[in-house]
Amino acid sequence: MGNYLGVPLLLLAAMLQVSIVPQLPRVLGGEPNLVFLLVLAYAARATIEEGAAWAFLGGIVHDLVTSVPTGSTTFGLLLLVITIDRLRAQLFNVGFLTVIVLGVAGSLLLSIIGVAFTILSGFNVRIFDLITYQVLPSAAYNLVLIGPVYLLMRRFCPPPALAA
Amino acid sequence: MTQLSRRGTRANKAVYFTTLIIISLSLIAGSQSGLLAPIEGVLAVPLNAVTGVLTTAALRLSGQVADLAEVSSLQERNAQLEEALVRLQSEVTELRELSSDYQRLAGLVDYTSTARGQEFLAADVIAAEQAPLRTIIVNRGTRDGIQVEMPVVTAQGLVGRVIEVQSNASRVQLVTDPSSAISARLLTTRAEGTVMGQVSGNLEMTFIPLGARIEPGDLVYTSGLGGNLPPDILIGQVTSSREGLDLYQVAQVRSLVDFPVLEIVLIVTNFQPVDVTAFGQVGN
Repeated sequence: MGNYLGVPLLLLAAMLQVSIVPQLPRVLGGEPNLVFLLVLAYAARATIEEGAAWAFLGGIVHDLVTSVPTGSTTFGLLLLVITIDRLRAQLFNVGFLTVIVLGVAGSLLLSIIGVAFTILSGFNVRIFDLITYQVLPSAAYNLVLIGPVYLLMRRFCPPPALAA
Repeated sequence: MTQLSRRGTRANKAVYFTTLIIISLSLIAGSQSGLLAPIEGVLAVPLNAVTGVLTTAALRLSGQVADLAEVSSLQERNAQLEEALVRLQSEVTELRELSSDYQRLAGLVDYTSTARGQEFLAADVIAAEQAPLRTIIVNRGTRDGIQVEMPVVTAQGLVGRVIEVQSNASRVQLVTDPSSAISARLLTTRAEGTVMGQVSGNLEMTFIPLGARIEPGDLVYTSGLGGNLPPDILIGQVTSSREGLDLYQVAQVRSLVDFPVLEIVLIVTNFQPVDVTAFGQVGN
């Protein structure tokens, strides 16, 4: 699965993020971040360059359909991919459990970046409420979904060594 | 060579990532400053169009799912409401019954307050028959001190007489029974006669003296003659009259009691019938 397939997939994910996902019944105010899940799952399987490309594209389309400043999600996803690269260098392989941990950590990272840029944009944000009703529930949703998404991605995407 | 290659790869990665990070930070800066607004606007148009279609579809789907969920909920609610309706209808019926009973009892209380010297016992009508006798059965019997020949009345007038008593029920022969004969008098002229039941269910007052004036609307009361009933109990109202066999007059009398819907009656418990036949035998 390369970058060419990634473009429509990430576009679809970004559009589903703002169309279907808000209609789904949820606990509290959080919601899963589909683009984040796809990028994380793909970056854990593909080469780091491909992962970065997905992070860049995914972040752009995500920011275009959401209210956060364009580039902020890209920035967060790129940091995530860099982390995966560093972990891969340390652990030789980024497996299921690592992805799960990254699912929570990356979700929190993206949320923090989003909140930070939102505050920098001049919006008055109630941080405690945002963390309680948005950030933590979203991290929980991402934690639940990253496993299935990663397993699905593993079926269609060979490991980096084979891909190379 | 391998180390150089690795270093080169790392350097390439570093450049690659650094470039992307710089681009993303530039994008943020451009977006924050508004410089990217035109480009964002152009790119967002097709995205927003597709998103709009998806959102509409999602809303419809969500609405249909909600409708489906609501159908189940509505069905359950409907069942609950139907159950409540049945219960309330039952309560309404019960309350109407109570109201009706209250009206009747209030009428009976009025009647008992005007009928001085008489003691009454209220009884529910629990059965009725049309043949061979036109009777009703009330839920009072010997346990309640009921005896044969006790008069039975309502606020609208005479109902009949007790003809059979059991421990917890009594049979009352209605004044409309064809075998019933009651000594009566007209209120206005005091003319005497005998009110007899008819097969048709009406009443007829016979043996009224020829000279007696009878007016439609005259009230007919018990006379007390014969000792079977106390005097001055309303029997009915004259509707018409005629002469009978040139010896006496006959008047059609309509009872004010609505026998088919009779539910509560009063039994006059302190009336002691007098057996006047004993005097006839003495005389003979």
